[in-house]
Amino acid sequence: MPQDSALSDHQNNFNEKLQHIINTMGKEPLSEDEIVLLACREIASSYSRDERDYK
Amino acid sequence: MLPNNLGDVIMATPVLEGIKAKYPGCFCAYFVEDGFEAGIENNLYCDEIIKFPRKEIKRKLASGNEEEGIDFFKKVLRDIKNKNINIIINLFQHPYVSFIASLIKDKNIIGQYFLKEGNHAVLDAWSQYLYAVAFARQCNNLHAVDVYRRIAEVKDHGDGYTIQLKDEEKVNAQRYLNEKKCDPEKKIMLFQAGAALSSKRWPVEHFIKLGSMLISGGWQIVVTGSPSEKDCAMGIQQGIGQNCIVAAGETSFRQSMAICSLAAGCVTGDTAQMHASAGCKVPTYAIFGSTNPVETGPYGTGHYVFSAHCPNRPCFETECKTGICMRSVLPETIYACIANGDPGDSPRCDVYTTLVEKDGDYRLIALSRNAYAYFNPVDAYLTRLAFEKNIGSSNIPLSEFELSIRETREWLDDLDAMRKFLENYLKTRNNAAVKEFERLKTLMIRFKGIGAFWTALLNIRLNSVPLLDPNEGINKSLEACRETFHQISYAIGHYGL
Repeated sequence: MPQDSALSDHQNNFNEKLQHIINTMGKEPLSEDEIVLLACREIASSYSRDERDYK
Repeated sequence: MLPNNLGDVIMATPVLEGIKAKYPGCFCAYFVEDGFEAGIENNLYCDEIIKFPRKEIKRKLASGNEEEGIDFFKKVLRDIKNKNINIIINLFQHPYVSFIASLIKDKNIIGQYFLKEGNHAVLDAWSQYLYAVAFARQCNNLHAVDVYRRIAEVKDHGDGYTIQLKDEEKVNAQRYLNEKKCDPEKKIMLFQAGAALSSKRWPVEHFIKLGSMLISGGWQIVVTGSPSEKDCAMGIQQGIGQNCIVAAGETSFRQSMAICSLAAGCVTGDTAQMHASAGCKVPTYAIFGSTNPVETGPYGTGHYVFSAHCPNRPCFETECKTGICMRSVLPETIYACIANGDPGDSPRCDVYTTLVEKDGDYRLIALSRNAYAYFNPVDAYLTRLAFEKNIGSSNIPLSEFELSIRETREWLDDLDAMRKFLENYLKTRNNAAVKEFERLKTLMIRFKGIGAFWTALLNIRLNSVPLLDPNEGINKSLEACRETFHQISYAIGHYGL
């Protein structure tokens, strides 16, 4: 398992890449890897009904 | 692609049947999230189920090491890509599937997909209709299944969902009921009391009263549900007493479907079990509160729908403080329909029966007097006419079109002005013209009747324009305005109005 600092680096790296993509959207075509990252961002915030708390 | 919610997956089954009827030799795969495949398993019209591990990817992404989640996602994508899919039909409205559709294929996608220019696009007419309905539900009289069939361009289907259970599954269900001391001589009524949203739940005391009436009439009750619904099911059992079995929490959804297939009826809210019951061709008594049975009712012929006599429905509230609308559907009314096929002279709620014509559409037929309609018939007719020219003439008096036509004319005047501003920009390159276009577009939110549907349709089209090249963007926006103007003009011009 990665150490906490390594996890934090991963997190920062991911967020930086995402921010770069968002900043350049509408200015140049996105690459497949960039679209993969955008898809991952959506998946990370997605949920199905069984994951919601209705109470 | 319609990956989650058990009921939604069942609602896509007539599309598969229609595709196989239209293209007999084709290979049909269904993209579904892991854990939601129960409604599509063993389906005659589905050659492969592609299970998408969304939760596992999400878990890996949330673990702090995003690379692991990204790599896993890429591997899943590669496996799907290797299947060399020719056409994707994306019926799901969540953006994550839009991205996946684009990552699997760069063309031949029906429904929403993501453009490399940086925006989502919905380019086919019936998907645009599906997305527009959410903004103006009173303009729609089509069931979701019938919209899905139009998106997929398939006409032929049976008279409902296609759910196929193996003989072995039915035998196991019978064995389960035998172990529970179910009386083989008595008819079974299935109760699905739980529902994901509290506004969809019929009161437990109503279930108890109906159950007691049914047992007096020689029935026995089986209460199904998920583990979290077990307490509710136990409460019903305690209230009814003898001849009531609790299966909730003990069976999978697939097993519940198999038990349902052995029943003679199912009383339920707007739940996945309702769709499963209709799919098993079991008479279904569906109680609707905040949601819309026109769009998501039990698809098939001869089912019953009960809803409050309320002009504000469907309100789509997820929580309801009073529960008045569900409470107003009385057990006596449902019992009358079960016993006599008719709600009697004066039910306190609205009662409908369902009809699906062969290769035709689903509709609700009111059985109770003065039942409220779930849609404005004029607006529903005009919006349909804008999308399909062959729907035939309506039997609505011409005078009733006046309001909708007036609003549509006003809306078209705005659209025409917007078009002129774009044309002006292309001639002069004056940015003020684009600003005026945007200003008019924003003002369109003032339309609350049929104009709300037209506005949604236009916005879906404008939002689908790739904006990387401003000049191309303006040209395509102009194209979208012209196309929308002609489409809607046709609908009202049809009447010479």
